[in-house]
Amino acid sequence: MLRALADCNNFYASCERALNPALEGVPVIVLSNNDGCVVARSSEAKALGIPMGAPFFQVRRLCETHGVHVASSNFAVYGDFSARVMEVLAEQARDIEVYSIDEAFLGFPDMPDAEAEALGRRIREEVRARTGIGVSIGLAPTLLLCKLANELAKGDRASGGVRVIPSDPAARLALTRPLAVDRLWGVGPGLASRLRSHGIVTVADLAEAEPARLRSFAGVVGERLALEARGVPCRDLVEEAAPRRSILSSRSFGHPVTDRAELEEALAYHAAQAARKLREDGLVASELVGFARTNKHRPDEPQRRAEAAVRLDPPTQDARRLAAAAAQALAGFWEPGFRWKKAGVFLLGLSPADRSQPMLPGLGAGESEARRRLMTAMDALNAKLGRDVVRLASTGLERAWKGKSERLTELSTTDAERLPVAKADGPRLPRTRIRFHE
Amino acid sequence: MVRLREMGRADEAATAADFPLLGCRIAAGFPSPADDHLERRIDLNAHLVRRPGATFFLRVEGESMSGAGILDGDLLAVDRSAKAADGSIVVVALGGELTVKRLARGRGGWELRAENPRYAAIPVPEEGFAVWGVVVAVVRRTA
Repeated sequence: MLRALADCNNFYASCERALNPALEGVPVIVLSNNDGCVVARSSEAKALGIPMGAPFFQVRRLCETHGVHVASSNFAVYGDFSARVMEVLAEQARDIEVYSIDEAFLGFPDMPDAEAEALGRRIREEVRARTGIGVSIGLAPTLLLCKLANELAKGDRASGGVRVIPSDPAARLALTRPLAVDRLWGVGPGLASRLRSHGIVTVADLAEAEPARLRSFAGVVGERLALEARGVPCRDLVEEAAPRRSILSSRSFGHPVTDRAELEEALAYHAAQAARKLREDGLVASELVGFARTNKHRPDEPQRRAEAAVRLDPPTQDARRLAAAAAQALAGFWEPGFRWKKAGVFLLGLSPADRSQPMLPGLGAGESEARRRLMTAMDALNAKLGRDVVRLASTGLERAWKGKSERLTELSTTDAERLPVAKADGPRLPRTRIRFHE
Repeated sequence: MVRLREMGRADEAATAADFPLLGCRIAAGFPSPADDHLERRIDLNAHLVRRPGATFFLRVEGESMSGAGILDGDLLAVDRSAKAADGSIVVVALGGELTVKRLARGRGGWELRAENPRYAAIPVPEEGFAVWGVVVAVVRRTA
């Protein structure tokens, strides 16, 4: 079966550009929440040597010198663009596994290799026409080779964003002969050097190696890599999202927090956010970890990473119980004298809410029906009135710790109050002058 | 892994599905003679937006298109995938801004026309110009 990996190019930067034509041809970077680090770069910004993940203050100079457009992340917009892109992909392919916000694996049964390239181009065109977002598409018989084909498409302008690694062995080996084995997904420096020591230098070498031999010195991982490299799929698309194993809600503060009440409020907020995700997925949690840390980019200040775990018995999805547990966790690690930069909540031991066992009578009850109904009512109101309209008072009213993204585009594709503007104000004709003939 | 999530877009916000088709609620008594004729209420999204995945909403600023019924503050539904033709009202990327104009073939070639006598038409520039999308609907509240 023909498979493909569709991966949006510089996704967040492309979304910014799709709504703002002034950014065409201009280097663009996107910063993480509260403008901490670089989380996306347009190709022009990459060419300037701005590293991914760099703290903004380290590249600020460079950005100013080269007129880089610096955007705060706007995840509501990226989420909408992602959904639009995935919609197009889902129409084009029979199978789809949405792998992350900007990439998806696709499956095309009965699609002959000869049509792979045209198919890739068609999909790319369709995504661009409907969303303005550029995608690179790698097509191949296995997911490992799809990923490699995608890298090739991205790295080579002449490819026009589409590359095929054919299933025909001769053609496939010819194409992968010059490619070093560490270009494969999952082949790190350690594995690569072990492979090289056994004479496997290129992707083609790996495809030609006997899988059983691979297993002897590179384990099951090596064997599976060899099989996938020779076009035998070991992993197929997973259409159903795997159940979550943990939920995290955390964020950097807008300014350093030193006050305990403020930190408690932030933790309650994250507990409530995580609780909402639990309920969306129909899960309950049996453990909460509250944590906070100081600013690691400020070595002149006392440093600390603190955390404490709280058992939740019975398991719960109730925002009030989770907020109380977060306060308990804080009591476990609180220490004055630090300037906290970030805090958050981890929920662990997740299981489906409908399967959680009610306890025996007298040995502690399950989640009470009243608590459950309260949360259902709160979710229903928020679905109608807007996120966070009804919320726990303990999560704060002012939320001074939240801070503000300075460069927020403020634009939205989903909120009628903050839509991009279509100008209809120019060019004006000059006023007609009345001439007097003498 | 990220799942497709509703983003509150045109196709997914309040639609006709929010108004279930209920017949006569009274269990006893006579059924309503209209029961067999109930239809869904008009769904404005379905009515105005043919391709929700490709349609973006923009806010109008300015009066240059007033002759085409497009006023300052109006909401435009813009289909990015629609093909622009002679006479289409389009949103174009021009000088780094999104601008709404009518695309028309004039004597000297393609023009971007305003629909207001106080504004001038501009010839379609050879560079730095792209059709961003075609305006497919104008939305304005009157109260």
